[in-house]
Amino acid sequence: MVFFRMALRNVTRNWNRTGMIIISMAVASAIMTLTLALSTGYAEGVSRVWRQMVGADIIIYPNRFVFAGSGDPGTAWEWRRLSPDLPTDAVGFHPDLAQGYLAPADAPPPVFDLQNLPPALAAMTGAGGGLQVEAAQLLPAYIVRETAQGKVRLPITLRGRNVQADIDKRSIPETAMMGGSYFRPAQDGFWVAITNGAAFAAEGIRPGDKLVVEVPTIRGYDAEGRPVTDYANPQTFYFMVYGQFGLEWGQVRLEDPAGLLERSAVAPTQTVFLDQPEVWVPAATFAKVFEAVAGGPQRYTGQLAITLDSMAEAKTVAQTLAAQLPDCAVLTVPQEVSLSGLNYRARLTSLDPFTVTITHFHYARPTLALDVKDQLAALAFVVAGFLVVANMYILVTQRRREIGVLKALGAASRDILALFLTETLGYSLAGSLLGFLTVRLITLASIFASSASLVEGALLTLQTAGAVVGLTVGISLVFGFLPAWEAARTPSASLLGDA
Amino acid sequence: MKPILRATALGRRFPAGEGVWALKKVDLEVAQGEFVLVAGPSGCGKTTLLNLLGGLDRPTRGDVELKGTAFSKLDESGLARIRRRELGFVFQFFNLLADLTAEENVSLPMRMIGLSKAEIALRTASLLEAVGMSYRAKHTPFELSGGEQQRVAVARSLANNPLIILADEPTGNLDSKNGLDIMELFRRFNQEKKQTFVVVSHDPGFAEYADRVVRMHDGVVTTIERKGG
Ligand SMILES: Nc1ncnc2c1ncn2[C@@H]1O[C@H](COP(=O)(O)OP(=O)(O)O)[C@@H](O)[C@H]1O
Ligand SMILES: [Mg+2]
Repeated sequence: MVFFRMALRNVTRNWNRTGMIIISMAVASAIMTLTLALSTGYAEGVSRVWRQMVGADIIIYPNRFVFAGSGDPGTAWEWRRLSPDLPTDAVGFHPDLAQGYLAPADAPPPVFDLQNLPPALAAMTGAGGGLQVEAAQLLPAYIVRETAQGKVRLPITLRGRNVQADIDKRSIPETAMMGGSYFRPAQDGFWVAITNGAAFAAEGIRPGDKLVVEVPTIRGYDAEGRPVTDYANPQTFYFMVYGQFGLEWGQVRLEDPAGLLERSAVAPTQTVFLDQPEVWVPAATFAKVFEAVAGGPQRYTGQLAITLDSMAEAKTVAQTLAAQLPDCAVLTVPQEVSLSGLNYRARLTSLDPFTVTITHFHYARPTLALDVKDQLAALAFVVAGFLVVANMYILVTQRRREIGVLKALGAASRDILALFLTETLGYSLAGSLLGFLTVRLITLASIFASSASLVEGALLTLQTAGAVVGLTVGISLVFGFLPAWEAARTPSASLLGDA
Repeated sequence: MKPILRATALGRRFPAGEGVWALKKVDLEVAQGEFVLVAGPSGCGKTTLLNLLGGLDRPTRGDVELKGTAFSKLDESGLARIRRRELGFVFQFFNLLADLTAEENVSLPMRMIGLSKAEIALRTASLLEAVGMSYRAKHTPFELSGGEQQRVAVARSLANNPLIILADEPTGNLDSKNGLDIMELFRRFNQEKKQTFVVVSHDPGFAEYADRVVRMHDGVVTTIERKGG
């Protein structure tokens, strides 16, 4: 009891020492708190940055989306629209987006004439608008593979990429390319391709492979401006697989996701979703392919892409367009990214017609960044822990003489331990609470601003507090105990002789 | 007179280097009320002897008995108990606890044995009074001169009415005036209160009223002069 009181007195009286130790403990706890906040919020943060990068585009989708069909000329080149209640991450981050332009319209699909854009778009692309409007470069195609069973055709979407724009505006990290690198400007116009990693990994298509791609010819446009494709006369192109892209990582698994998406208007066995196998080729290469199968440059498109600089702009532009082009569903790329996170396994039950079944959802989680996060967090904890350990070591070793005196006056070893452990407890409790609260107060604003509910926020705060305070106090007690125990067992004579 | 403290064939070897016998073989008896002065050149083993007598260190051979209790039979906490109740220490470097006031330093040993608050207050006040430090009761060691600190230390050593006070060069770090004051304190407690003292010092002032002077050399006792009688 004497020693508990003495410990409290020591803590409250020697403000030089108390201040130093408590501040060090607070710094250690602040590091831990920030690190924990980082590890709970980091994945989300990365995701958000990722979306902002990709979200530099806004894509105007007509009501129906392209997908490669069964090969029947009547249904092959089809568009399908998103279900209005499809949840998207974009809505999660910007709830106001849900009202208005994210809701797809019910009107028939428009087809844009690239030489005669609607006034609203023309104004935006004009001198004052400065936006870049392009046709979405998409073609239905097949990958042809020789197997033991003979020739197999895998339906794909051939997608052209504006290499320079991708590299300038999106700077999609190389980590998005699984096992490969991104197109360089030097690759524009070359017969190279990158493939959808998830879709093709199962097919055994790897970088370095030669890809045989059949693209149906386009015989012209129908009354609504849609291309009339001739699957009987495809043209064959050879690409070198240069890399694989992947927009899906992670393990989130949703059961029965098919209910989230509206099925195609075509037969149920032909259900194909947006994230079908895609083969990306450089934009200049795509133009060559298009000219070869259509006999001239692209004039009509069912889908436009508008390049913007920021997500903030995207909102304004998209709302303007939604108001002026009520027939169009305007989607921002975050939605597309989210949808690309759909992971499915293509099950080719027969060559024609074929079935693609969605098996589960994945959500984007760039793996490399997460790995670094773990190491960073570990390092931060080591640093913080070391700070605490060093503190405790100094607290005890600096006071060996005092311990010697106390022992001479008749304090037993366990009294010394009680004294130092009580002091340690006081310092580490005060320090860790101070550090935690300081960081939390500073970050309070962002917690309130986030979509997390108050209850969630409070729970998270309590959890973090428990972890930080528990860890700091725990480390302190252990590393206060060790030198204190050593000193307590040393004969008083040598402790006094030290000084 | 029957001795209260007895050292028999006491030896202490330090493992430094090839090993040093700081104390070779010392026999010593101290009787109740006696004032024993230990003298000798630096490094002859005086501090080592005093540490062993006070249970601050364990001997390599031999034993110490206090009122019939052999230190060798006691464990760590048993020895601590003896130091707490039966012994008082005065050091050359005062060794007051820096965070405590004079008053708190003096009362600490009493709090360790669980005296009542009232008793502690009373005893502390009278001890500070006896060493002439009442007017500095609330001061911390940093605010006190060396002489004042040593007086507080003397008061502290007396806190629990110890059987024996062991003092290692108590005037070694004081000027002659303050040294004389401390010696005078010791003399007074010895003669008026019959307090037993074992004091290490080469200060000739102590020799004047010591009952015995134990002269040491190179880890052994060379002569014991019995004074007065
Ligand atoms: N902890 C120790 N380790 C090694 N040698 C020691 C230790 N303490 C004392 N000594 C040696 O023992 C001898 C006696 O020391 P000490 O008792 O302090 O002498 P005195 O107090 O008479 O000056 C000296 O030679 C000293 O160097
Ligand atoms: Mg000495």
